[in-house]
Amino acid sequence: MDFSPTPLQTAVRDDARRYATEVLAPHAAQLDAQGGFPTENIAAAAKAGMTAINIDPTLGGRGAGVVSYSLAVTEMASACAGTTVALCVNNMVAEVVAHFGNEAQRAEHVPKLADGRHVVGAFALSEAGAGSDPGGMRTRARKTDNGWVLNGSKLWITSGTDAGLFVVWARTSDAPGTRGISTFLLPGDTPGLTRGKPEHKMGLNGSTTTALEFSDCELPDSALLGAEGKGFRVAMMALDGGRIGIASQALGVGLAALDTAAAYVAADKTLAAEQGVQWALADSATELAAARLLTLRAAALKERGEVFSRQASHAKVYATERAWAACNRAVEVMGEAGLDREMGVERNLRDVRVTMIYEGTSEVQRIVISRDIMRRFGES
Amino acid sequence: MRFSLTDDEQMIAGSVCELCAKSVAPDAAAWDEAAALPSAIVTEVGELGLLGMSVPEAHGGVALSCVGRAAVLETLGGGSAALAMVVAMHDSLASGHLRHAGSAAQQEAHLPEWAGGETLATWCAPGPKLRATQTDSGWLLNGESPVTLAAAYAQILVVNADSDDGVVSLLVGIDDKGVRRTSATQLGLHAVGASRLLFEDVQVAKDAQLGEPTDNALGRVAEEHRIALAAVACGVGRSALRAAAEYANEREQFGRPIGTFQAIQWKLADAATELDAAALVTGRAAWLVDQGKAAGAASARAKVLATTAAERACSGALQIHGGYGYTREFPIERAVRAAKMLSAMAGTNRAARNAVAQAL
Repeated sequence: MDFSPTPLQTAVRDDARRYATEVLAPHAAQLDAQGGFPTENIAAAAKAGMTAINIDPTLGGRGAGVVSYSLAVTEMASACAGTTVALCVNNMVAEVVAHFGNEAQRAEHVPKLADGRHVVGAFALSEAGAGSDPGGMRTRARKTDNGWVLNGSKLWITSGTDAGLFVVWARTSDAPGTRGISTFLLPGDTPGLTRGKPEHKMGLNGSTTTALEFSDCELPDSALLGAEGKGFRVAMMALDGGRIGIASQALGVGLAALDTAAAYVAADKTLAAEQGVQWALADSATELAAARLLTLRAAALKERGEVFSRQASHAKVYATERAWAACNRAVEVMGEAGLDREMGVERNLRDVRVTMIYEGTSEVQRIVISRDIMRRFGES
Repeated sequence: MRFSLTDDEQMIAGSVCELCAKSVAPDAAAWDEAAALPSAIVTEVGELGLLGMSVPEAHGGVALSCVGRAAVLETLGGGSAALAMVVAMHDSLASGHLRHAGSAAQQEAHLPEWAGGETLATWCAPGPKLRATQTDSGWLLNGESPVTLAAAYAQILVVNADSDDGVVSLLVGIDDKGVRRTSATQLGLHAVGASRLLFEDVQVAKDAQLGEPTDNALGRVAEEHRIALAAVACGVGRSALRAAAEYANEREQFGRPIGTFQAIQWKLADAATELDAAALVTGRAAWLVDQGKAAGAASARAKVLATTAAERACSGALQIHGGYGYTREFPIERAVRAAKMLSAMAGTNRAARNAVAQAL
């Protein structure tokens, strides 16, 4: 096993660190307080090469692979988790289109996702009654002579306010559950699309989360991504990769909280002498180191084209829950200062909590992992 | 040790429960958002006698036992932890300090107004940045207090400050010359009126000194502080647990209520078990106070157990609510933030654990 980053991976990580330090960090607290879509951060991300990291250069991407992507996300999330999730989803949407799209779809959309002409991409799977269970989806796409007509609604759509391209899942037949679902590319200016008001959230205020409504949205035949009725597989494959992004994001937030707490403790001799404080920092550092390895292993497997679904779930459930623990410990170690808005740790705590929920809750990850364990034992 | 409330205690707890359902729980989110409590709700809790719960009847109070007060704070905390902490800062801490350390004359002068809610008081913990120095006529206060809850609403402060003789407790008017307060934005309890208090050459007369630094009033007040935090934490946790159980019964995924999944059931079961234990340990600490016995370690155990149980219960409740739980439309994320605040208060649970360990 070789754990050292390649020169390319190092370069991407350094670019991400520079973007995080120079662009994201100075405004992160203000963005959290005000809320809203981080327009300027996103525009700068395209220039910094953070919008399409694992996308082929022929389509405008960085072509740097999944490990580079994971390293970059962790760097960015340490500074501003909100902007980072919008970028994670953009990278994921670009990969979905690059992987499942035909040549025309790829050529039309991926470069625009890479250079910011689409602003960002958005991923529209969840609905009010279909969260952990996408099979409960009710949005429908009806076939017409020259395309499709979409009706229904979606919920929890990251960047729903500003996205220029939505990947939307809808039922295209009466087949029950996860069968009969298809994937569509829906441009943000499609008539009949209504973007909801941003949700008022506990944290992650530097990204917008909205509902979407589709009222007789007409789409051409060319909007269908992948085969008709095979949309569930597209969603699951996208989410497998997405989970590496969210694990990397949570890791970055947890590391930021640990760094702040460690600096605070180091500056206070009495505090630094307490074993309870020392061990809290030691536990966070140990767990986040393990989370990093799980996350990078999943990234490396995906990069090599191997099966990585279970490993992505290991990474996501562990990294997000341990990052939450690290943020909690940071507050505990810092006491009153940890609660103070100006110190940043309370923002880390609020931001990181959602990583245990979106792109598959911790419960869903445990289902994925346990099913794979049981399947393997069933085979032998 | 007792496991039930007296009729009087039950009656007041019942009234608080009604008040919560009618005037607290429905508005608590708006208060958090506005980072302020409306004066009407403070008046209302005053009319129920909650601002004089701990005060003897001779001074116009309700003279409720510590066990009864814990029950009231738990119930109120389930509706709004911020409101419950304003009540606790006034009654358990400020009045408490006056009860434990004040002279008869000081008690007579202040407690009736405090108990009736005409004057709101709060309590400043000692901190490294605040010092009192003795003068011919009394004391001179200089420095900054730790973030003080309810200071935005208080007219009078019980200030604890380090001096050459130890920690001295002084009554200081919020409008006294040299006192400045600036609001502090923290993780949660946004409506609690948390403020930083700055003291610049504040002169405090000798007769505004409560007791002597040596008489350990601070120790008794610290017990009541921890019990109050524990009680409010139990309320926050139980309220989140109830909401999560209701949601788990209603929310369907995979064709059935999510409450039928074992993973969800166990989350709820663990929260219920831990909160039950926390409430019992809190009740025992309060009972010890009522018996006039030392409750230092018992109250510290209660604070650690209850705030930890509340944190876990609230985070579990958020998880059960999924994305909905992360939004401010639901009361859960506010409960998560409140539980973390309660846990980090009174010198964090490190201080409470140290107190437990020292007693062993």
